[in-house]
Amino acid sequence: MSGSVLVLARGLRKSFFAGAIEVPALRGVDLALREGEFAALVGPSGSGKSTLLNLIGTLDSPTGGALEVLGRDVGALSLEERARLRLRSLGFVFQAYNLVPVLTAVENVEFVLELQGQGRSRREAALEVLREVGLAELADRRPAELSGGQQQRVAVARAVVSRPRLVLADEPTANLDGATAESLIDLMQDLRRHHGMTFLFSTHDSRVIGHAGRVITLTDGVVTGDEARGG
Amino acid sequence: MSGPRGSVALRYAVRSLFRNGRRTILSVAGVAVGCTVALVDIGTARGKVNMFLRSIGEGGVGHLRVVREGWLESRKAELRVAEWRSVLGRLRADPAVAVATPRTRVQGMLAMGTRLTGAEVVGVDPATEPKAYRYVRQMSAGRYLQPSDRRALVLGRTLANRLRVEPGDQVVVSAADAGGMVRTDMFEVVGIVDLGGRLDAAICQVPLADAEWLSGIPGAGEIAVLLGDAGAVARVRASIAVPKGDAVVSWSQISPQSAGAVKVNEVTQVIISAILLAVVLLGVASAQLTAILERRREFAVLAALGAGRWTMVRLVLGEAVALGTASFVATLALALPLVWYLATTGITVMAAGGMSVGDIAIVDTVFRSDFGRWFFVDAALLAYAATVLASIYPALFAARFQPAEALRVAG
Repeated sequence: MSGSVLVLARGLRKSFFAGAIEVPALRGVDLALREGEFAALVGPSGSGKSTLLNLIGTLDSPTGGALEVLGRDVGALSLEERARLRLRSLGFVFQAYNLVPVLTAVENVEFVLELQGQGRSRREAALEVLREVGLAELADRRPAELSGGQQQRVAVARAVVSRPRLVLADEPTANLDGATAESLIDLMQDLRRHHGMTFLFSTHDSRVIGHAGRVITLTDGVVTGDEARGG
Repeated sequence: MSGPRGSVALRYAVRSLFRNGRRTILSVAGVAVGCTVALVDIGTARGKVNMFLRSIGEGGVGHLRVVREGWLESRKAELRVAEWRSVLGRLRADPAVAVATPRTRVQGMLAMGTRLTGAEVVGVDPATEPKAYRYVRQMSAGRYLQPSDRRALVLGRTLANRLRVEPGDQVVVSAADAGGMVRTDMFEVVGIVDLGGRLDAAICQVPLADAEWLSGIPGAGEIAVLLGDAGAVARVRASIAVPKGDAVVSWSQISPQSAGAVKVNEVTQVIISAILLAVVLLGVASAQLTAILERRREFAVLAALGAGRWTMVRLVLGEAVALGTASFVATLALALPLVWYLATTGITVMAAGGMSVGDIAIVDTVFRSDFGRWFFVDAALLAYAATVLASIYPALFAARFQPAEALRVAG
């Protein structure tokens, strides 16, 4: 736990409104995530895991408290600044893979580099990352032609291709069988080791939790446990 | 969306067209049908303008006319063009001028026995007048005037019937000259023009020299000019040099009613095209908005990956351009044969001179639509405008998606 702090939340709150009724999702989260960590966010459904990931990923705005991501005050960033921060420094893996169905595996990965404005070398860079996740030979297949595990590997490749400092994954193994889930977590760990990225992922899966170096437990919108492990 | 040609964004745009093939086909068909109707309308309107200009030009008015200054306001028949022979010579040497012919008009009275009728007697150059005035080519009896003719007369059938004359008959023609004296002489009817309608009632032509004698004022009252390109009126008008005291006037100044009819036709065409474009645009906008809403999650994911608002707008507009390209091709396939047929074969509408629009007596018997480079330019403009303009709102809508909210809603 010697790296610099990438995420710092203090008294972080987030509420949703159903008409006039306020539904609090986060009730004051205090959290610091350091560079190089491989942290799992656990807790029952509705505990606020996805909300917290969305806030850290600058996809949403906090209702209260303070949140710094990579040294930037998220509440003070404009929408375009947040988009730039996500594009340059953050990676996302979603539970439902969320690959673009009309693009091939390599194009899905390449698209991120194109959004960054990278030139001709982006195809090679995308293929290199697909090679790292073991899918180079399926690069020209569309998502519908890939299994769930393969799609999630492509999603991981897409998340890490721009070498972001922080990768956020929301239930990345929820739709995968046990063996595939473990292999995906192994892959994420390998990427962390090789590229020095920081991973924060939410999960219910106890086998996956076992691989995490740190387990943060969220209950009813507050951190109720924070345990460092050897993983 | 920087990057080399054939970028992922481009492939994304093109392939997105095939996500819902049926909807894309319907959109493309809708745009193609709308654009085809608009193109037929534009071709027809342009054809009408060409027909009007031809009718105005060859129906006696000419595209341009050299007159004495003040004629336009007073329309006095006794005004004469200064140095008309040298002006006529210069006009005939001008490559932009197809025909230049002098005329002199005088109000006269025609008599045959006890039958009398008033008429505007027009003195013409028999060698060039038929090239400038299409109707006098349609002789139903006798012949047209010849350069050697003196005291000869060509009448329209309406006037001939009124006087009950045929070629070979002698008619007494009288006119008051500039000094107020009445000049009278016998003129032989050499030919009769029959247009089958009221238009030939205005035809009473004599050799120019005879009209000069009748009016008592030598010279030509006007030089009518037909251009090779009826659309070049303004340019040629500006290039014609005339002596001081003379003026070059255009057909629209001579016949403001005709200019009004042309303008109404042009404005109507623009309004019809705009309405068609609006209908197509709303249809495409609806389809595009539905497509965007169906892909709410996908756009949310792209936003999460870092695509900014303008990137979203460019992605949606990229799809619109791809749709526009498909629509352009479909429009060509549909509209090209139609407009080409109307422009080459045309539609037989009437006997020449049998119809008038506003103040314009139509000289054509077959109506032909217009066809040219404009067709391809307008087809592209319409197809791309219909799809790209229609996609602006859906694009801005996509750009406003909040990624977390969209993921929650779509999830």
